[in-house]
Amino acid sequence: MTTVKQLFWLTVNELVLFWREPVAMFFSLLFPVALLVLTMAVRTPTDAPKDIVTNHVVPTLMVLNMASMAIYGVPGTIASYRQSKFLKRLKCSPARPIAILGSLAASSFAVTMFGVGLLIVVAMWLYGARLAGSFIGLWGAFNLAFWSLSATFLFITSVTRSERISSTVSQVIFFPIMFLSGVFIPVERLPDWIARYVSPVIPVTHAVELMQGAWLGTPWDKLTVPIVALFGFLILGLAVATYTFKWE
Amino acid sequence: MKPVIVVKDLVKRYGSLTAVNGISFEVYENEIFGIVGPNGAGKTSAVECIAGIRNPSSGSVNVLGLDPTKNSLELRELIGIQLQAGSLPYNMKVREALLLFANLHQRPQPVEPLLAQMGIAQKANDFYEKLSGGQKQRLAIALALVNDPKVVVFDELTTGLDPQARRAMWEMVRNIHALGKTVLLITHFMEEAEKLCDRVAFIDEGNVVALDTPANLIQSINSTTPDPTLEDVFLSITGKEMRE
Repeated sequence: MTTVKQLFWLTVNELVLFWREPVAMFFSLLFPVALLVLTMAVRTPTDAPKDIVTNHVVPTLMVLNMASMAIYGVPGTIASYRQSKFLKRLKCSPARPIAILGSLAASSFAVTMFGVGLLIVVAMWLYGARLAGSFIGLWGAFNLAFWSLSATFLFITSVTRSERISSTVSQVIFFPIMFLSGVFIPVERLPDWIARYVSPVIPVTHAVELMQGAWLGTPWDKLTVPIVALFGFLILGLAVATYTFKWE
Repeated sequence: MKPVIVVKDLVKRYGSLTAVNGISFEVYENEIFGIVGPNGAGKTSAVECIAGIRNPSSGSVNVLGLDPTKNSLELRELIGIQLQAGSLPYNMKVREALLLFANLHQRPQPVEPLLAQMGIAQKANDFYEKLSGGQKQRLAIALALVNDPKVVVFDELTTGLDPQARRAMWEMVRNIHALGKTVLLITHFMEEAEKLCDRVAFIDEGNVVALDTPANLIQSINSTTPDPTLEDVFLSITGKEMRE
């Protein structure tokens, strides 16, 4: 009960602090929508119909939103709290470590969910996007992809001792990952050796495949590989973070 | 007198560096006990082991009957800690910080009277980054007191404060002591220890080199200066100036 109470108050605190960060708010909530609008604006008449384009773009933008939070958001917040010694201040309180880390995860989940929800509403309202799969399936895929990416990139907080280094590491890995995982360019258009040997070891690739499958209504038995891979990254990421996490 | 903190042969090592080298002392109920020494003497490492923030390399610590390494969460309900290094997010408001930390405890004090008691009620809606050094320290004390602790630890409470703010902090420490709380005060300001502490332990290079009341420590040295101070005592024992 104590841990649940602590988790609740720490999460509320995180959401209040996030609300006061306009730049973070923009990138988490409005940037994917802005990218969708931009993508649809540059579509030429010879391209596929807009609902087909939208249905392809929306799941990848969902993953872009999740990956941004996993690579920039959570590691950046932890690095900032560690640098300012706020984590150490919390460590002097009876707050359970699971409540502290859980609140960061829960608040970033809530923000990402809101951002993805906004993206879906705009895509359906303006561009005729349609969820071909089930809502429950999409919700399950979103949860698996979000927690798997968040756990995987928690390693950034273990190898960086300051906010500046954390931000640099995030920038260095973010764009290559986006290009190599099918978020910016479909994996099938990448050179064969990259598609075969590099993309599969990036969890974001599997998140894209799973979210596209869940959105477009692909049968679940054809999504076994991304589901198993994301569970694997989730377990591996949590194990690495548990052994390497530093409070200071 | 009843000891509330018992430290025996405490050692804390970081790799090849020995920060605390086998110190022992007891802190009695409702006393202000000072741990005094120059920067890098091992004061903060010792106190962090006492508070259960770090695990000792060897030796034992007992606080209010609890072992900080085994009962750290239970202990943090009973003690209050103001850290030398311990900040808050710049965009957190004063009242929010106090409410957050109150809600992390099982039996917190009401927040509004605490804000008034610390003289920061008028700053309750201000962001942390807008506070002066003295106001930040007042908030740090309020956070340390939010669980109505039996033992309060102040680590370099007045470092970086101007003389007026420093004296205001001393008054605050006396008021907290008057409430019946045991105070563990870590400082490198000799005057502060002399004015506030019932007993003082000098720490140098990880060892306790002297422990007594300020008056007894001052009497114990053969000083040629007319009014010797604790600084003279430290100099005569270690041959070092405090600022070293």
